[in-house]
Amino acid sequence: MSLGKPEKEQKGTGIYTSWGYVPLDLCCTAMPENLIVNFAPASLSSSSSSGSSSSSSSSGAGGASTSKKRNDHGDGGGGGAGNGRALVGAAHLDTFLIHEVNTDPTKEFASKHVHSIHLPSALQNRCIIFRAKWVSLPKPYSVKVLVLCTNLATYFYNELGSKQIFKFEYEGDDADLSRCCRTIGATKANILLGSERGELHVFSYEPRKGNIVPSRTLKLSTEPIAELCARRNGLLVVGSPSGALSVWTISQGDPLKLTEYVLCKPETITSIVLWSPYAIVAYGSGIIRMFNLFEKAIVAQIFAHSRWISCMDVCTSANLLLTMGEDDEARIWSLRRRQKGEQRSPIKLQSTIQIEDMNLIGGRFLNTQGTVLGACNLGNKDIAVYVGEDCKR
Amino acid sequence: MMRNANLLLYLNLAGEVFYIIVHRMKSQKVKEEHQERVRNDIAVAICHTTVIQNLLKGSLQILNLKLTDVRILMDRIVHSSIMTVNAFSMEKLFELTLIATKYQYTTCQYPSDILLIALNHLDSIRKAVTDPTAKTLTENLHNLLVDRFKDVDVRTMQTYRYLVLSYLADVKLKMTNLIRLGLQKTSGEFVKPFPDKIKRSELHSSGLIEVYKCPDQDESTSEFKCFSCDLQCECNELDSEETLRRLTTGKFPVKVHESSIRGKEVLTTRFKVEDSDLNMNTGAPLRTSLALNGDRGIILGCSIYDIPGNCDDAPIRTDESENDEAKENTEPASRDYSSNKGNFNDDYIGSSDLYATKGLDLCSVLLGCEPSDSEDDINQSRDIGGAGPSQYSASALGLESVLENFPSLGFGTKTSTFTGNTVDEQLNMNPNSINVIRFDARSDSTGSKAALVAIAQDFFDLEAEDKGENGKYQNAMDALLNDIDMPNEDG
Repeated sequence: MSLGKPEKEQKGTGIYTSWGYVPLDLCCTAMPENLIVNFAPASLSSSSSSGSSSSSSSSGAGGASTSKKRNDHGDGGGGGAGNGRALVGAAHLDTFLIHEVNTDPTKEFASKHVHSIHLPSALQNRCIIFRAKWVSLPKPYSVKVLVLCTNLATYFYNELGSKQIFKFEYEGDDADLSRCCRTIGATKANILLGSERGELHVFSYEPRKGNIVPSRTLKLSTEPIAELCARRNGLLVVGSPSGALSVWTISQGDPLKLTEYVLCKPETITSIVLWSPYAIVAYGSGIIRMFNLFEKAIVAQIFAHSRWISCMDVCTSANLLLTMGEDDEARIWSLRRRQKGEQRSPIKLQSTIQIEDMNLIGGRFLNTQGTVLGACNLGNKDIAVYVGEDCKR
Repeated sequence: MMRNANLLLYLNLAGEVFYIIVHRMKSQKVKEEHQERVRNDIAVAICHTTVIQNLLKGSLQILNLKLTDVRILMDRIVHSSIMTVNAFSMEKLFELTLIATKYQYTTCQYPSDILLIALNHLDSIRKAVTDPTAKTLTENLHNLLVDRFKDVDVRTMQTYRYLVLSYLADVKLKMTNLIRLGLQKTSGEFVKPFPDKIKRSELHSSGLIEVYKCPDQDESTSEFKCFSCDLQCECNELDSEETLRRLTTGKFPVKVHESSIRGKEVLTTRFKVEDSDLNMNTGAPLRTSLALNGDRGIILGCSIYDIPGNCDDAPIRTDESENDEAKENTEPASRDYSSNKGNFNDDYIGSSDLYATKGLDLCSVLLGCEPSDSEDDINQSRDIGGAGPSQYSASALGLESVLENFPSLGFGTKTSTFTGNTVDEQLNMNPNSINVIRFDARSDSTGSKAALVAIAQDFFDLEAEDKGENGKYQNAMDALLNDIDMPNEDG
């Protein structure tokens, strides 16, 4: 591959400034993508009206939209409606902390503690949360489930984390990490857990009782499922520790592998987000690669960070991508789809935030406009919230 | 997996204990034969097969223990030699090991480096010991580490690193040596070596976007109503059945190799200017070796006390304004592991006021007296609790675990009591154990002073007057009141 002469130097044009801090009782510990967000949670609004269709500013607490009317896609992390509030969650070892945060930058920053989930430990093994996610099941279920993957079991809670719905215990007595689940996804009707054994555990939701029941287990590969991204139609994008990205479908029962992207040398996949028509994949080498799922081609390679990329998030409605790395930098990128024959880059740097001398372990957009984002730092008893001055393309 | 993480954490902590003890013995100019004996004994304790086996089979799980129980473990390592360390010094030593370990794990460049850090510790231990048993144990442990970790993938190593960092997340301490070297700020955060001076093939300089030939297709998608924001956007095309149909049409699976982009027309854009190196490709491969005497390639894991300019005689910043600044910091570093309860100015090693107070306590404990009140106060004021509220209550279990799984490797009885009532009786020392004499070292009785002088003479092989070597100690009392205990020749 020959490199062309670099065209021009781009500089990030947007500016993000510190807006506030969400104080936590416990410090953030290191887990992949420690910070998760639940936009417009139903539990926070008092009415079930359809609410404002505008996503730009809060329409007030009374007219807030609810997640029952507006359901995120299967990943549960997409845009949220404009009641200006969101639930954010961060993990500390065996405790999951849930806070409500004001995400309307036109108002004063505020946050409050909602709930803490303390998970039980076994006699000889301490419980450690490895992954958490708010999963949204659309109509007819219209429910959000909080899934917590730990080294001992995977727990399913209601949206606010106040009630445990189901506990999925791993086979065997040993708490060895080689048999636990560490990735979470959801289709239209099912919640998916990817395990370290390359298996996909599928769970169904029973609306009558509000239960979650194991449905089936699918064997995808012999390698652990390092990252997983699922869509409602049963489309899965799975990342392996060796760097292979594979596209599957489980809509027809047995899993079918559609495409596999293989690297020349192994690089660990640390995060996957889907932004049609691309799969955007972050690696431990600091590189981000964009794959066109329809064209089955590698479209772009971005040397985004000089160290391990710890987390990535996409704001689909604002076409923004957030990446954070262990090089103490948080970068916001703007994404664009190319017209026929256009050769321009599908990605461009929007902004860089230097967060020095920290270990960034989690970052998310906190609102649908992509103007507010949160960052988790290892050992800090707070979530740093930043607001963008101008994030429009 | 957890067992591997436990092993790495244990080696790191124990290795740091070794470094500190060796460093302090050198700075206190302990006799070389005593130093050698202590080094050998501690190395045997660290690499003892019983301990390693207990770690590997999971009966000793450091990550499940509270910090107080881990301190007991380190205490056992230290007291497996002929040396004793009093409670205050032990506390200081433990804090140093925690912060050094946290520093190494925080600033390591790539997850697989944590194995190199552990091997660096073992290398230093192996080079410092002379006893054949100790050497064999360290070599065996080295081989075990390499066998166990050489095929572990990077993601798993990152998990181990995350586990250790999570365990130490609450530890917020300042370390004089790190601050002297510019590796830690006075506010407690570690200074990371950016831009990375070490180039390696696994990582890349940031700043470049490479775009490959665009397929001759329109990438714009059909507009969907966004579920979340009720706007027309293209974000949910991938959810549709039409998308699935497109993807499942034709032959599959299709394998796409990264090499397929070679030779394609490339559009490159730079978004960041590199300081010096315009070559955006990877650095030269970092040469690392897992062989017994190989070059690890990184210095993390080597003793920071051996770094030039990091000696105890270097001036310690005691600027009041700096201390005030540190106090005003929103997260002041504190001796309290689990919460920020204030800033201790005596974090700096060598505070003369502190040692003036503790010197006599040191003597008391060494000589078997009742623990001092001030020592109890110190211990009570520290809430060494580890993580915050948790249903996991393992203190009792942890302590049992430590005691069961770490055999006492003492050489002779450590605290045998010799109930002598007179100075003469007290001076009849048992050559086969630590000699303990009951009296109050803080009293001004002539008998007490005389006993101390006699003991110091025996320990330091000193005359009653000047030491003579460097004139540092005016008398045996001064020598004994230094901050580290000297080994009993007969222990």
